[in-house]
Parts: sequence; structure tokens; C-alpha cells
Amino acid sequence: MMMLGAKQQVMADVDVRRPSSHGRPRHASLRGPELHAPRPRRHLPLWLYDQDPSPASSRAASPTSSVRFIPPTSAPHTPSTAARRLVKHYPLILTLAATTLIKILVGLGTYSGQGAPPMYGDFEAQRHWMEITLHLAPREWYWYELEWWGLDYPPLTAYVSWLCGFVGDKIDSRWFALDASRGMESEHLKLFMRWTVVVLDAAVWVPAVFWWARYRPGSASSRARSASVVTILLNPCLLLIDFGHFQYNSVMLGLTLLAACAFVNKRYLVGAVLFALSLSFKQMALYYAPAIGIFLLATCIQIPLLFLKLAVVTTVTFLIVFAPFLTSPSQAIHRIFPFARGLFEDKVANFWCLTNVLIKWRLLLSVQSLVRLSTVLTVLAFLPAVILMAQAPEPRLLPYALLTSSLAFFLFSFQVHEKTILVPLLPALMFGTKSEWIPLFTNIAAFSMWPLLKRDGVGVQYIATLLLWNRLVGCNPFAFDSVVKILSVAVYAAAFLLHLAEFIIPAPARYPDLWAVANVLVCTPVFFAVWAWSVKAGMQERWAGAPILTTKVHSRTNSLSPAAPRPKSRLSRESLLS
Amino acid sequence: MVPTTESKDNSSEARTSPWWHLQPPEWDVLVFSTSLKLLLFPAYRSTDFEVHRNWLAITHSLPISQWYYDTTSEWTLDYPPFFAYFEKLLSIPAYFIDPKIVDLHNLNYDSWSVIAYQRCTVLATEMVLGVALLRFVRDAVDPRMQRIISASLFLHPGFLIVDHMHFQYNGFMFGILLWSILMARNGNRLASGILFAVLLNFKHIYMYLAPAYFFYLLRSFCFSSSGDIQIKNFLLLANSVIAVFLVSLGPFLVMGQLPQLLSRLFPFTRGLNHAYWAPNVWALVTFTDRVLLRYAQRVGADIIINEPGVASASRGLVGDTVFAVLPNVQPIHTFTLTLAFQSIVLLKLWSNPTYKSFLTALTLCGYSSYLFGWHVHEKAVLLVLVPLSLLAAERQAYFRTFIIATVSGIFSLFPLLFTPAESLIEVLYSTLWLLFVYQPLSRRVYELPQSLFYVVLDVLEKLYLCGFFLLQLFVSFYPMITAYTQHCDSSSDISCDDSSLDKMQFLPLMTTSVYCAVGLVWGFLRLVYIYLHEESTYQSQLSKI
Repeated sequence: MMMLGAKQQVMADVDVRRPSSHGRPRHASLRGPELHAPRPRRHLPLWLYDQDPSPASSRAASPTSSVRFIPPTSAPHTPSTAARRLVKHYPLILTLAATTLIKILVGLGTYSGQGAPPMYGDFEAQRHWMEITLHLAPREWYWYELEWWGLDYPPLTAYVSWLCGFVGDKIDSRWFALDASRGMESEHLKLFMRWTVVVLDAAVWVPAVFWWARYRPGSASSRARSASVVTILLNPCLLLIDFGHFQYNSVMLGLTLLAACAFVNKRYLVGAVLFALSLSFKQMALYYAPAIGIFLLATCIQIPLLFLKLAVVTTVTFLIVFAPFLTSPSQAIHRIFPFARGLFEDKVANFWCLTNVLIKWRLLLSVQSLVRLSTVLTVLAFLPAVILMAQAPEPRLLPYALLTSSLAFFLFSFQVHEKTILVPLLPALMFGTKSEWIPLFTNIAAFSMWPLLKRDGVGVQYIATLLLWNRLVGCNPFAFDSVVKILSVAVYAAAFLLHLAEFIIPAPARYPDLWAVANVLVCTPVFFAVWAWSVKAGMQERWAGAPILTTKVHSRTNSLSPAAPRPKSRLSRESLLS
Repeated sequence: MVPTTESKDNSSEARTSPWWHLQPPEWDVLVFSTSLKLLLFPAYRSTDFEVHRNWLAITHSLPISQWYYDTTSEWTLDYPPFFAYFEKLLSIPAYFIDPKIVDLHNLNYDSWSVIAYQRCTVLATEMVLGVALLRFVRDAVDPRMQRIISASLFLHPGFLIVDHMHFQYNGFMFGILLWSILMARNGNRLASGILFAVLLNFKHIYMYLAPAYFFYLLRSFCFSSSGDIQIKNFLLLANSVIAVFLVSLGPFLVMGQLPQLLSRLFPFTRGLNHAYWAPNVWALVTFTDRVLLRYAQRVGADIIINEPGVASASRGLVGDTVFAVLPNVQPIHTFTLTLAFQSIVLLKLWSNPTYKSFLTALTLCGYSSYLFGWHVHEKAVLLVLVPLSLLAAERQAYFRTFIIATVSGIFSLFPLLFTPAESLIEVLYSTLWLLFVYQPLSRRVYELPQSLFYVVLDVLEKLYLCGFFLLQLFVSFYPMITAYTQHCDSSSDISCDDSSLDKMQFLPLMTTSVYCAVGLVWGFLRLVYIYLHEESTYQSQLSKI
């Protein structure tokens, strides 16, 4: 139902601005007989917000009633004020309420490490950080008994943890009692923790998404705006990780997205502060740093004095955030960038894990040289983004550069977690779903996290959110109208078969990671392809100067059977209309 | 202008393609509802979940002769035989998924396999409802309005709360009821009667609706319009219904277990009110009694006070209801009142046996049983809300009744779920649902109030509806306030004695029950008035145009 809020606005827009979009001449409505005829709004679920205000129209739902309609009054009607108000003002509240509902529903499930002593999981890590930040002085935060989920995120996370711990302590002091609360599990604690995610999400991520939908380059219609909002807010990966697995990724992603909004509006200083905050919330924002850094530097060449201001503002921000740790910064840095933890831990769909099937990197090379090698490869992979941004520091190219850069890090850098796919997913979703690559990328990103989600016990939520999102963006997995579509179908089929095989046949004892490795084999090529696409599309966009992705994406014209003129996409048809 | 271009397109498309060919909005509803209900898998479940698991075990492990005798678990089989057969059917796949599900002695089994399996069966059997609702849309006069109503029923918060959280199979059984109503609408009255007989043998609570069926089928199927009896139709219907009952009860009749079966189905040992008072007339009467008792105690008025009643009032949640001031109510009183109200409605149905009249009478039959019945459960309100929904788009008067009854009815279901996360979900979901149903329907049926009386009524009703907002605030925050004032932490329950905890739960429940009862009783009076009086005048007014 959350789709409806967004679509109401969509509806109004189509009606008011584009009477001709369905083949009817624009002036047709001036002719007499058509004065009252509503414009066809095919394929939208219009039964939910029927624009026809005539109270007398066909009031009988039963066949036995003899009175069916009354002729309309002579004046051309306008929608009632209540209706207009709903269409105008409700989408935001409704979308917010509906997405919150979905988030809480996902949160009903288990979290990472629920009922799994001795170490539990990420939920316990976050709770533990609230506990230590609440009870200890900042200088002890990065030192205190590190073997039990020692703090390994930058200070802003610690401050937010302190805030959550402070509020939680007022509600029930046992939740965050120092040491005594380790491994604490209760329904009320779970609810409180889930709520901290929902509230932080509503405070940072949701406004960021709304603003991006409003300011993003090339989005004129509110139809495109709503599509963008729903696509980003309900993307299954973030829902599953933040509200199922339990983390606060949306804060970091939201701060980055806010920074992007600021850049679009030429508020470079605000954007730089926001991105610095994003970096000091979670170091994964570093994946975006090459693109954003070069974007700002290249902009500095055009605007005098900007460089100086940026340098001051950014430095001050970092100084404030890191102030309590400036006496001994090495421990914090060491905790935040754990090179000692090895090339990769779990199976993750990147270059190292993929090639590890054939080449045993960790036996061949020392950690030192592996770090060097991975750094070189990462730099080579994000170089196209740097070049793009250096040549044309335009906000409309920013998502492409962000995607290239973050995927480069995901594919080649050291110590990547499977959850980190959320970072490249953000710029991908910033496009909306105007390219066929985006649904494929989102679905496969969710699939790549399957081993983790399975461990967390959120399999049902995985199915449900994927189902919902794909319906919302109008992704029909069974359409073969372009090369990417055929590729997508092949990948989906492989993923589905893998799920089926895993369900039926347990992994043999000799290869306990068999299905996880198979997962990597399916996902990594897709991620490489998306990376290549982002490079290519970014270049094309730069030279074309206009969106290249507006060619018939989910075209209805060449559907094979005339009996099924079902739209494959409702939300993504923005591209057709705009 | 009414059948717009769009609806023409839609209906012609619908006519040429088979009925199961879903249109985009229908896909939306199906996908949205499925994902929503999948997400509810780990939600709170009541003991009804274990009840149904136990029935799976009973029907799977015991011979049919033992089904109604088994007392291994306290949750004995107390639904009619068709439901037992249905459970038997469900227990076969259950055995292959996890044999422990159908182990009779494996009480309170709650591993993921049984949760997922039982939740899936609810989801799957609910498709009966989905298909019936789809058929309603397909040959409706106004497919668009019917589609909204169908969607609203398929996504009804009542089903979400009772079936997908609390755990029951109402979606499936209301599906059969709607099939039966659909058959009546399509003029196939024999099928309608047979389906209703089948339904009765799934769950006997549908007897609330039986009088309307009886009168409607007798009048419109067994009598011609001029009043002559059509003996062939009568025999056909009677024999079909008897055959259905024979299939259901036959095995138990042969084994001579009928008295045992009936004693399981109708346990006449319960009190007037359920632990949480269902919001009906008796909730209002009990409340009046409590108020009078307080008043008498304070003023010292010279009223005969019934001592057990005082004890009953102070006990709050637990035990039977015994009145302190008012005369006590016996089952026969409730029975008489129910029948009296039903007969008024049925007389009208006899004189006007059309489909719409039948639908209203059906609603009113269920409504009177709900309002005046003995030991009514709050879940029974679905018996009122589902048929009433089908009338919602008729016109303003029906729509208003629908809104008032639906809001009160759904709100009265909220206490079924008391865990904090689920409570929030039900409130949020119901609000959203209401907005999406209210918005298009209200515009379709809007009429200007005709006189000052109607304006005042309109304002009062709106005020009443706004009151639910305050009531929800009170219900949510009252426990917190009392916890603070009494310094008793609900999670530690050390410093709390039982009575204060009991009171803490009782006051919000009583307030909810009484406030909802006001709305439901008012909705009933409205509907009776519309049905008996206004309908004829309204129709004649319209025919003048």
C-alpha cells in the first residue's frame, strides 16, 4: 500500500500536465462532447483514487438496483478540495507511514546473533557500544576489552551510540549496565533497538531520499520523484540489513545522499561537511571519497577561493569529531582500518573471493604485498571515475562516478564484507530504475547477501521484500526485450536454481561453503558488468550531455502477445514520458 | 458520462479475457498482501496457533472415532467435522515437512517448521477469499467500485489481525461465505444454499447468519414471486442441504457420537461476557451496572446491591459477569432479544427478497447476534463487517454506517494483540487501510446533508470517529502513567501486586470495549433504520429523477 501514496501524486501530474501522453491531442478536451470525459489513465491502479467526483455516478454495486446513474451537472467539474489536498499533501506522510510499517514488519524477525551465545552478533555489537559509550570516558572507547566487540567504527557512530544508550538507560537501566548487560536479550530491548534504527532512519535517510528525489538532475515531474523515493526507500537490501540483520547503514548512506543533494544545489561547503560526517559515521563512505574528492577539487578550479574554504571546513569538521581522540589517534585509526584481519573473512562476491577458487592468494603472497596489490587494483578500477569527475565535475555525472568508485572498492579492496554491497547500491538507486541494470543489480545484491541473511534467519523477509520491491518498480523478470533483459533472466534463473539446490541438497561435508562459493560465482560477474556499465554510461552521459537511458526501457510496443498488454513497469515509465 | 472510457476499456478487457486474468491493480494488491503477510510470519501468535497444531496432530494420529474424545491437550477439537477433515488434509503435507508437527504429545511445539507451515496454510487457503472477491469484480455493474471493496476486504485489517497474527482460518471460511453470496448475486440460489451449508459445517459460528439465509432461500427459491410454493425447488434445496450435513456428520452419526460432538460444539458453561468484553449491548449494560454500583456506594443510596456482583466488579478481568445493581441476564434473555431483532429484519426480507435486501438482512442478522448474543467473542465482529463492506458503495447512508461500524469493529480487535511491536503494526496498518478505503468511496457516494438534523448528526459522528484517536492515545499511554505513579515496573513485576496490575490492564480494555460498543450499537440502529424505513423512500425519490 505504500506505493499508493507516491502514486497519488503521480496521478495528479499525469492528469494535469499530460493529457496528450496517451495519444489524445492536447486540445481535444476543449471540444464539447469530451468536456467531461476523463483522460485515459491506463495501467495505473486508478481504482484507488478515482478522480471522478460525480457523486451520482453508478452508485449501485449490485445488479438488482435499477437506478444507476444521473446525468452530470453542466459545469465542468474539478476534483473536490479534499481530494486535491490528499493528492497534494499526503504522499509524504503516507509514504513515510507505509515505509515505516514495512520497516517495523521486517524488524519483527530475528536479528543477527539472536539467541546465539557466546559472541552473539552485530546486534550485540551495537548494544555493547551503547553500553561502553554510556559508561566510559571517550579516551577508553577504543581500548576497552576489545575482544568483546570492541568499537571499530569512527567517532560519530560512538556519539550516536551514546545518545541511544542515554535514552535507553532512562527507560530500563539493565539494558546498558556496564559488563553486566553483555549478551542481554529481551523483547523490550529488541523493540527499543529496532526503534532507534527507525528513528535515525526517519531523521537522516528519509529526508535525504525525499530531497534527492526533488533535486536530482533531470527529474522534472513529480512522477519521477515518487518513483525515485519508493525505489530507494524500499530497496530490499537496506531493509534487510538495517531492520533485519541490525545495523545503522542508513545514517551513513543518508549523510552521503544529503551531501549529493547539496552538491546539486551548488552548496559545496555544506556538502563537504555532510560527507565528512558520513565518513566519520562509518568508514565505508571512503568508497565514495575518490569521486567526491575529485568532484570538489575540479570544482575548485572553476570557483576561486573555494579550495581554501573547503579545506578549512572539512578540517574543522574532522577535528571536532575526532577531538576526544586527538591525544592518541593511532588506536582509533588502527581499530577503524583493520588491515590485520586479512584479505576477506566470509565469502564475499568480489574479485579476491572469485579468483580464490583458482588462485590461493593468501598462500601465495604476504599480507603486506596483498595490501599493496589490492590498493593498486582498486586505484586502477576507480580511475575512470576520477577522470570523469576531473574532466566534467557536473552533479548529473556524480552518481556514475560514485557507482564506479564504490564498486571498485567493493571488488578489489582489502577486507570487504558482503553487507558493503549497500555502498555501491546507493548510487545505483540514485538513478531511479531508468536502466535495466539497476533492478538486476539490486536483486543480485540482495542475492549476494543470502548466506548472511540465511544465518540471520530472515529468509522470509528476503522473499517478501524482494517480491514487493520488484512489483513496485515494475520489474518483470520474464520479459526478453533487450540484451540486458536476457542476461538478467539468465542470472535470475541461476540464482533461483541455486536457491532450489541449496534447499534440497545440503552442502557436502567436504565443501561446507559450496553454496556460498556458487553464490559468489553468480554475483561477481554481475558486479563487474555493472562496474563496466557505470564507466561506459558515465562516459556516454558526459559526451551526450543528455540522458542516454531514455530509449524504450520497458517499452510496451513490442510485447509479444496482444492479449497481455500488461505494463512491465509503472514507475519506470517516467523515462518514457519525460 | 459514467461508464468512462477507462471503465469501458476495463470491462471489455475483463469480458474478453478469462476471469483469472489479473489486471495490474489486482496484481498490486496480490503482491502487496502476500509480502505483507509473509513479513508477519514471525509475529505474535496466540494460543489458537497451538490449538490448530493440536488439531493437526489429533486428526493425523487418531482414528476418526477418537477425534471428538481426545483430551491429551487442553485444546480439544471443538469445530464441526468439515473443519476436522480440513485439518486432516493439512496434516498430510505437514507430516512430510516435519513429523513432529503432527505428534500428539509434542505439545506447544514452536519450531520454525511448524510456524512457517501453518502460516503458509493460512496464506494459501485465503486464496478462496481472493478468488471469490475477484469474481465479485468480474461481473459487477461498476467494476471500479467493486474492485475497491474487494481489495479492501482482501486486505482487511480484521483478517490481518485475527488470521495472520492471532492465527485462525477466517480468510478461508469467509471466502466460502462470499462464494455463497456471489452465487446468490448471480441468481444461483441452490449453490448459494449448499455453500452456506458447507460453511456451517466448517465453523458453527456462521449460524448467526443462518436465519437470513433460511428466509431468503425459502422466499426466493422455494416460492414463486406470486407466492405459490415450488415444491421441486424446495425438495432440491432441502435434500442438498441434508446431504451436506450427512457427509459431514454421517460418520459420527453412524458411530453414535453425535451427543459428544454437540457437547463439544456448544459448551453452555460460559458467562455472559468474555474476559475482554466484546463491544456489544452487554458491555454497555455491564458498564452501566458498574457505574450505578459506584454511584450507590458513594451516595449510599437505598438500592438492593447484589454482593457477588460487587465482588465481580472489583475482580475486573477474571471470571463471570454478575451484576450488582441491575437484574442478572440469563441466556434465554439474550436469545429472545436476538430473535426479536432478527425477526423484524426477516419480515422485511420476506416482503422484499432481492439480492441487496438479502445482503442487508444478512448483515443485520449477524449484527443482532453479535450485539445481543451470549458470550460473544470480539472476533465475531468480522461476521458483521464482511457483508457490510459489500454494501459500502451503495450510497452515503450505507457508507457512513460502514465507516462507523468498521472503525469501531477493527478498533475493538486491537486488544487481541498486546505485544508492543504488533500493537503498533495493527494501528499503523489499520489507519493506512482506512485512508485508502475512505478516500475513493467517500467521494463516490457523497451527498449533501438534507436538513439541520443530518448536519448535527454528521458532526456528532465525525466527533465520535475522532474520539478513537484520543482513545488510542489513552490506551497506549495509560500503562506508562500508572507504572510511573505507582512506581511499579511492569517488566520486573516485583513491586506490583496482582490487583494493581489487573486494574492497569482492565481500565483501558473496559474503555475500549464501551467506546466501541457505542459505535457498533449506533451502526446497528442506523442500518436497521435504513433497511426498514429509508430504503423505500429513497428508491422512490430516485425513480422520480
